[in-house]
Amino acid sequence: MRALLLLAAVLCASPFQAAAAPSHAADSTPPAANLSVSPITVAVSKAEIRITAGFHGDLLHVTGTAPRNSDVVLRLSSPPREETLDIKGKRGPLWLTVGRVQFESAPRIYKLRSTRPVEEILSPEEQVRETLGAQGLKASLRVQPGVDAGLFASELIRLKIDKGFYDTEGGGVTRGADGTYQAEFRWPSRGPSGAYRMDAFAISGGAVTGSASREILVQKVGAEAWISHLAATHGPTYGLLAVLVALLTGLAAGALFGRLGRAK
Amino acid sequence: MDIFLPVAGSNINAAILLGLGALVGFMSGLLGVGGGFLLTPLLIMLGIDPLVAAASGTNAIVGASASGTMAHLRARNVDVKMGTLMLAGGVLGGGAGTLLVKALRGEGNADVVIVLGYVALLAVMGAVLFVEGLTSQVKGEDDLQSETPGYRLLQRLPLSTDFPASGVRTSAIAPFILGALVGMLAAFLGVGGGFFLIPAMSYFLAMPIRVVIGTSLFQMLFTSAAVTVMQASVNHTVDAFLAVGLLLGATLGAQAGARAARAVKGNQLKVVLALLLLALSLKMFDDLLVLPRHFLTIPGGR
Repeated sequence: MRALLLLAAVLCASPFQAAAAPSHAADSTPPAANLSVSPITVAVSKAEIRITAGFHGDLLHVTGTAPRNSDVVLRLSSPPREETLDIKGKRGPLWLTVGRVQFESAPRIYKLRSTRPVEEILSPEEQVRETLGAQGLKASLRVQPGVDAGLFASELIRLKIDKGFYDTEGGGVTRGADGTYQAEFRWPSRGPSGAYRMDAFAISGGAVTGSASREILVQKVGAEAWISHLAATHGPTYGLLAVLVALLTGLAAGALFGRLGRAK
Repeated sequence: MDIFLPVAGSNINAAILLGLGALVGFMSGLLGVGGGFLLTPLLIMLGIDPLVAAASGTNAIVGASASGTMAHLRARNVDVKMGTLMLAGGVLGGGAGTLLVKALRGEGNADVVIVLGYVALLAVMGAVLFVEGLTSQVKGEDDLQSETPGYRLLQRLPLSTDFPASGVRTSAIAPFILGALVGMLAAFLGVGGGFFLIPAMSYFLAMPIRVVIGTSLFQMLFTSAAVTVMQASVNHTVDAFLAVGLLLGATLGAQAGARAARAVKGNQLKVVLALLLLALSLKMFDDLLVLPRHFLTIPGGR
């Protein structure tokens, strides 16, 4: 079953890869470098994560091939976007929200898997240039001007690691004898819906020598999609429906137990 | 089995959701109190955003009070005139409360205000139940209906009106004020407000206990319905999945609770529940004082 899914995912994902190629050309290595090594490939078990009524997170299996003598780093992330966070401070005995800080760009999800820690296989400059590892991620975060950027960026990363949204540790990529590799990513149940990307990097000699990527779409489907859309955009209608459903449930339960009570 | 809550944006185990509803329903069946005051803090403890917990609690109360209201209406235990005035106050108070929640949320502190509200509410209710349990006073069973100081005070307000169903004459503004207070409590804390309204109707309106329960349920049903729609429109914090799950658990629990109430001694239970409420109050207060794990947090999330 898993093999079938995997096959289906690979087949489905191919058009995505073609579509993604122009956008990732910018952050990949020059074509010349790619000629000298066999290119890295990547396949993800799912091209789409569907948030249904029974959703409790998901597991992504990532497989592919890479040159045997190179390291592999996998990155699951979203395009960076604006994000506003509350700043907590002590007022009297209580911890309250005392302000807000705006990040001009931060990924919603950032998870790494690698054969070895990124710090051991990539130079600090390359980590920053490719946005790989804790330092690379931190350098990519843009904070509003006029605040201590380093401090706020570290706190954002710490918060998102605790929430299960970020993972900068790496590790978890195993290599097969025939040049294959595999890894698993856990998708958090509270992970926001949107378009995400799985990037695979082949690394040797302290630099990226090849890369490949797959798009992953995360979206609410069925009743979940309908209800959250209605709740967000048609508040009064949704509120009336919620009242009606509660009313009917309450009356039905009352009638049922009333009848049971009389039967005794 | 897990259920993904579309508005709360997180998943919850179905058994925990039903169990929580059943626990609250059991308590309310056993003690004859509404139980909304227990529901919201327990949801907050489970990690649900306090705003979503309160608004979804209000939604659940609509269902929980529906069949009781019908039964009391049929038995003519509802002073509809009094109840409608309270309801008018409830809609106004609930609307004001909903807008205040929105303003506080803009500041990022609505959750702290809700938790503080519960710290106070649970402490007071715990203390009252504790004393009741020890002194074996049963609140509300002695028919007040005498002219209490509270009744005389509110009677002096203008618009004196006859309420034949209750057999009292008081200002039309009095039930309006009580209703507005309950509406405000419903919007902030997601409670039905029976714990406040039932003694207040005896004390301030001198209503006979026969119509107090029915009228309280009547205004609770419609006020919570109005507050649910306002919360859904203004704050988008009503999670219907959460509400219906709790409701299903609560109806089952309430049956078991009502049955158990005939079998066990009420006073020891009151003391146990009182201690539970006091402990919950202390825990929630302590959570506000301890150094947070993060000094940056996601707005509206915990």
